[in-house]
Amino acid sequence: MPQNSRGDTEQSGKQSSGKRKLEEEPSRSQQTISELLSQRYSPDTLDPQTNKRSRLSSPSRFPSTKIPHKMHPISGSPPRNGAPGRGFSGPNGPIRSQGLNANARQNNFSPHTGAKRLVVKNLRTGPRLNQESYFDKVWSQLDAALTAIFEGRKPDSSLEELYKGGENVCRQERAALLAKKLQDRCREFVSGNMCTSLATRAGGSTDVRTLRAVIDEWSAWHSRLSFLLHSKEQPVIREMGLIQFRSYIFSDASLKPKILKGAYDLIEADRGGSTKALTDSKLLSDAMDLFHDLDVYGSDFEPLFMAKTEEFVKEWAQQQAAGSLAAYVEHAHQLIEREVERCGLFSFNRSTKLKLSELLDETLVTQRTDMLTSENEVLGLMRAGNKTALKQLYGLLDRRDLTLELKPAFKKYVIEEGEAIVFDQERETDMVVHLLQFKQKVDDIWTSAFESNEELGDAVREAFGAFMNRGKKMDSTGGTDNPKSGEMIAKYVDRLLKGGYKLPPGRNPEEVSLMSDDAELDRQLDQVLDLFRFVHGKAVFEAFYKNDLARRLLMKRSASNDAEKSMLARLKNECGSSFTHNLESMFNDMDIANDEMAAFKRSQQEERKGRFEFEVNVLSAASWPTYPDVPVRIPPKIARSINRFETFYHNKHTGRKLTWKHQLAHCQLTANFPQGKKNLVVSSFQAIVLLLFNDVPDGESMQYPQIQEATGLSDPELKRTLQSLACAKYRVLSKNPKGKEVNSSDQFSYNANFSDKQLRIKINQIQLKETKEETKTTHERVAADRHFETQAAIVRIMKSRKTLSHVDLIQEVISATKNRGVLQPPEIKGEIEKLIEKEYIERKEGTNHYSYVS
Amino acid sequence: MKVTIKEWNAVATWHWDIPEDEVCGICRVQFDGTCPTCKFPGDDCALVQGRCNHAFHMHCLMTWIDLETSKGLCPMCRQKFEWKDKE
Ligand SMILES: [Zn+2]
Ligand SMILES: [Zn+2]
Ligand SMILES: [Zn+2]
Repeated sequence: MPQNSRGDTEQSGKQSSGKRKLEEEPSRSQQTISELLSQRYSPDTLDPQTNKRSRLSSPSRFPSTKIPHKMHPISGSPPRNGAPGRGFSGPNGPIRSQGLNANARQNNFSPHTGAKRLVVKNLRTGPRLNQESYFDKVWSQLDAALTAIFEGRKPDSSLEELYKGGENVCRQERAALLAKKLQDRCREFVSGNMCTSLATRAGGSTDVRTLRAVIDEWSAWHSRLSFLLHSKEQPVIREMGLIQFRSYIFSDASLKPKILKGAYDLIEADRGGSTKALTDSKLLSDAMDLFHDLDVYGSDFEPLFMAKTEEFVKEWAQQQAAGSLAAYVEHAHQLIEREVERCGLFSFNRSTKLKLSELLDETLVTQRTDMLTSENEVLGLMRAGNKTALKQLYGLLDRRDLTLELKPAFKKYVIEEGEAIVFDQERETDMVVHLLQFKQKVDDIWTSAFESNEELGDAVREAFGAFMNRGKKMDSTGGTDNPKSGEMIAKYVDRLLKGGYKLPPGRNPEEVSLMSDDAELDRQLDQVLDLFRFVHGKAVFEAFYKNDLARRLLMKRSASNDAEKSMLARLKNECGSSFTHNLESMFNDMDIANDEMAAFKRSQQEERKGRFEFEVNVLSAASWPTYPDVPVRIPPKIARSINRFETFYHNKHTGRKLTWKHQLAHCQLTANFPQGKKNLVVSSFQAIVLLLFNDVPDGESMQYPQIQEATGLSDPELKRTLQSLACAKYRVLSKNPKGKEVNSSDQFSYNANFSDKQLRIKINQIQLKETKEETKTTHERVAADRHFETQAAIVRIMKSRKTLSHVDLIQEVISATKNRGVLQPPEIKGEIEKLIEKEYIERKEGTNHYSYVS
Repeated sequence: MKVTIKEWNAVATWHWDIPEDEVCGICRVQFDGTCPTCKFPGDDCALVQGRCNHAFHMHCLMTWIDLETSKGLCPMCRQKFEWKDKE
């Protein structure tokens, strides 16, 4: 086909050339017209299905040097804009001038150089005169039809007749002439009637109304064109009409600014700006179609849109930045959402979306980074727990990869709040509960607002690691600066393992009751272990955990042996087996004790008849907490059992020494009161005191000194014991005179009026003061151990290195002792001074080096 | 009032009948702790005492004696290591 038509066009081109005004329409165009009439556009510029120029094509792709070039002769040179004699750029004038490329044009066809010769092939001959009169007749018919169509009427002649006429003319190889006449006729209409009418109307009208009128005119013009000639060349006709519309309507000096501004006014209205135009999405959508159809989207609409939008966004940001950060991020978030949504809704080009997005990021985020990451403002959002705002803030910063800027504030927030919890002495007992709640809150912010960002997760860990290991000298830590967290976590675990877990915050009881107790306990142990991981030095925790475990085991206070073992496994997993070595040994001692007692009882079968149950737990001293020796006079009956056990034990295990820890013993007594028999669960000291009253006649009493003489207990122990029996919940003894405190002048007698609903009564020791003391001494012991270990480490290091600088020594000590908790340089310095005093090491004169004294 | 004992749960601690501060001459661990290979203190990780009166974890001493370089000598006083007889 191309071959054949090439011949035709060249020939017809030559025939019509004589009638052209060369200076207005250069001769090279002759070939092009014919070309246009006989072949379709290349598919990459026109979609054959819709005959529309593909919208996806970028603006730069449009003037692919072919189309404007080819179309040039059909559109004709616009008399207003295209200056004659301005060469090739004239015809397309203001619209496409920037898209035209002189080189490209010349590559395609170079009339001035005459490189291309016209070749006439297959020339048909016929009576020229007849042809001309026929042509005139057909044209006058067509001309009348065109007038009718332009006026919106139906043509008088039938379409078939018109078509036949046109076809015949084309057969006579006058297609080019016909096209030229059609083109002139159309141009006349567009640049004349249509333009004048629109321009007149636009004069006193708003931009939006003008836009609407132009759009209406375009759609009418468009449909007339398709009505006019839907031959196979229709795309060409359509293109011609389009270019004429663009040249004479869109590019009209009075219309163009109004059309573009009208479209922007609609967008501004949609933004809620000050314009009076009402949002009309149909019109805006039509306007976008128009811009795409005329191919002025990239060249005209987008630049205006971007310039105006930049002004708008800058002013917006200026205003919003004056408000709070929460409001700013919320509004910025909404703004971006709406801008992006509008792009999609009205088919803005991808390039517009990218530019807009870039503009928003730059103006709303980059230029406002200081405000967005202002520590005070961000801290405010965190303190208020404003997750929505934090999420929006994160989203904004994320657009520019600035999320890391949140790290300092996040860390500071966690440390601040965390320290407040850790140093809250009033609510110390609930420290771990508060820490768990706080951790949950922080995790919640981290996952829901910060998208579980890794670096910000590090901030959480670093912050917890920091505040949880902070300590200050307090009375409750025995004047040491041990961090409290280890102690409180151990005590919390103790509470859990004694079955005293509470409902965690934010969970309803029904949900929990569906789970087994064990599963819930496991879950809570896991949670508290999350906190435990932040504790650097485990020494404080270990000391308290060991104390509590000992008490649970000896007093049989554990709620579940499985839970104990699972906690042990967790600790082993976290801290290694050397950490749990002693704890495991404690469990082992309890297991051994069972076998031991079974063997003991077998050996005592004869003696045992009619006696009380006597049980012994023998502990390996090294594994258990250190218990002091508390002097007490043991009743003869108990002493005999103890002696028998010692004999048994020494026979079985040679080379061992037993030390009795009576303060750890507990027992059950049967007491006969006039109002009923009771089973009393008491400590050994309580039992020893109560047994004394078996020998006191009814109605008589014992003096405090007598009791002390008989029991051998120290004042604090005895007073505490008597207080628990005579002044607390269950008063099995009466004190004279009455009162809460026990004095050494008091008298005691058995309370004949004692009664209680329950058969089994557990008389608690007065513990509060003791616990406090024990807490202090435990802290003191841990601190002392640490001093000792630090000194030992210094000596070890100096012994092997002989001389070291102060800085190096500190570093080596820190790394050698880090398993027990991170030491602070001043603390190490203190230990170094002590060792210099003790002459283990000496300072080298005039240097900051130490050397080992062997 | 007549009080009778139904049940008595006593607690005692045990340690080796040697001075408390002493450590095993081989592994340097206090005797109440175990040798480095054992888990729990007790009869499974017993102590031995030589005629020279030096005491060690049994496991520590066995490992030592097995070494050729030990030549059967006490690692502390370099006298021939002989078990102290129980009386
Ligand atoms: Zn050893
Ligand atoms: Zn061993
Ligand atoms: Zn020796």
